[in-house]
Amino acid sequence: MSADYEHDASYFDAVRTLKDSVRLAPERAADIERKLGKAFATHLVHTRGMKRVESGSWRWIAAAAALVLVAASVGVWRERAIPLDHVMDTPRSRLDAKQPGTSHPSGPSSAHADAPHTPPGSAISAAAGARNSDRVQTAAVAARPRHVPEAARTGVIQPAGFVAVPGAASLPQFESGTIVRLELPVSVLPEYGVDIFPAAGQPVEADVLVGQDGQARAIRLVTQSVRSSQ
Amino acid sequence: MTDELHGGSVADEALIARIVAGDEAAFTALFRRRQPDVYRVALLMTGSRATAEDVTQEVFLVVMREAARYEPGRSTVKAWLCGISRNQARRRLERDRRIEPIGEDRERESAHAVVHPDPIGDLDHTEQVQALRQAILRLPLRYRDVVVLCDLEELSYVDAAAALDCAVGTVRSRLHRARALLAAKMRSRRAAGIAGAAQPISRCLA
Repeated sequence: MSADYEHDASYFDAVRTLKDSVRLAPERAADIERKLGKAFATHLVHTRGMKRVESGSWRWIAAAAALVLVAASVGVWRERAIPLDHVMDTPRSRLDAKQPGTSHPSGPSSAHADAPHTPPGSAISAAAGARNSDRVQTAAVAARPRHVPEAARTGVIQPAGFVAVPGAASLPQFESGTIVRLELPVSVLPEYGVDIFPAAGQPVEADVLVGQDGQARAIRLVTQSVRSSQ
Repeated sequence: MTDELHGGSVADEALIARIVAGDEAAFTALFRRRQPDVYRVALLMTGSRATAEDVTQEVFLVVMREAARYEPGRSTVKAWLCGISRNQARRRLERDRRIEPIGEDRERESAHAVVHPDPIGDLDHTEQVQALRQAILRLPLRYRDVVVLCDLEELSYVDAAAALDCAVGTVRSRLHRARALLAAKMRSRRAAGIAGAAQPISRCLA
């Protein structure tokens, strides 16, 4: 190649020959063409399917939105009329009537031990504040007519009554459950929808109503010395 | 209609438009027409036939997925495809981090075994072509790009600039530098060939 390579005929001659000599073997080319053909067919099916989804997607969005609205409405309705009302409405004294082996700290909560015996026929007759309380009767609670407690109607919430935990409305219908007494750190109470004043530093005792699916439905504070802002 | 597609009367741009519309026959026609260019770029960039085949397949998979992104006013379809091939080849080189020159072993053997009737004369044309291929593979990537696209694929400076996503002036300056480097390599090779040919034949065959 001469120094003036840009006009060197031999360089471009070699380039031309090099270009012509580089070729994909015909059988390899056919193999690649076959694979690409299959890939193209798959690609077409995928893209056409996606287009159908996109064109009808607004209908699905509308249907999904309607379902969400209906579910939310049912949830709100059930939240108001759920048998939980009966639990919330029942005075604590009646709920705590049967508590074998329950030990209570001294102080206001010790009043539980003096509570009158729960009358028979009560749907919560077996309920207790013990850690392993008896199961709440199922059918009676589920079939009981919707009873809106006086407190809820007037907007006054009993300071120690059950309140539904956030998200309880979206859970399956309450059929049976267990009331479990727990000692909870105050830091977790906001997760249950209960705000504690900053002054409360000690753990608090709370009764948690747990449904048949193991999910918490409602909570009430037991320790009277702690005020709830809810 | 298939004859029309494969016969070359339908322009590349029209094939791309049909591919976007889902025409498999147009896709096959484009592959058959442009696969040699794509493969050549891939092979001269990587030096490996196996890699070049993989890159060729990958380039047309990209075309299948992104044909709608081709901009007719920006470059020709050939330049677009060569640009994709160059990018895919670079990715493979980066991944593999090695160059596998073609026929390097054969070249080394032939340098000792061939006895020229005229040892002072120019290198055989075939050897020159082989030497050029080796020299291109030894160029830095940024110079290899422009030699492959401009000198071998005969793309215009504008099309090469679009394929490389750089300025036309950059293509010109890099091509100038690349040819100078190739010239130096070919000169030194010729000098080595003459020096080798001047040795007694008995030593050459040892």
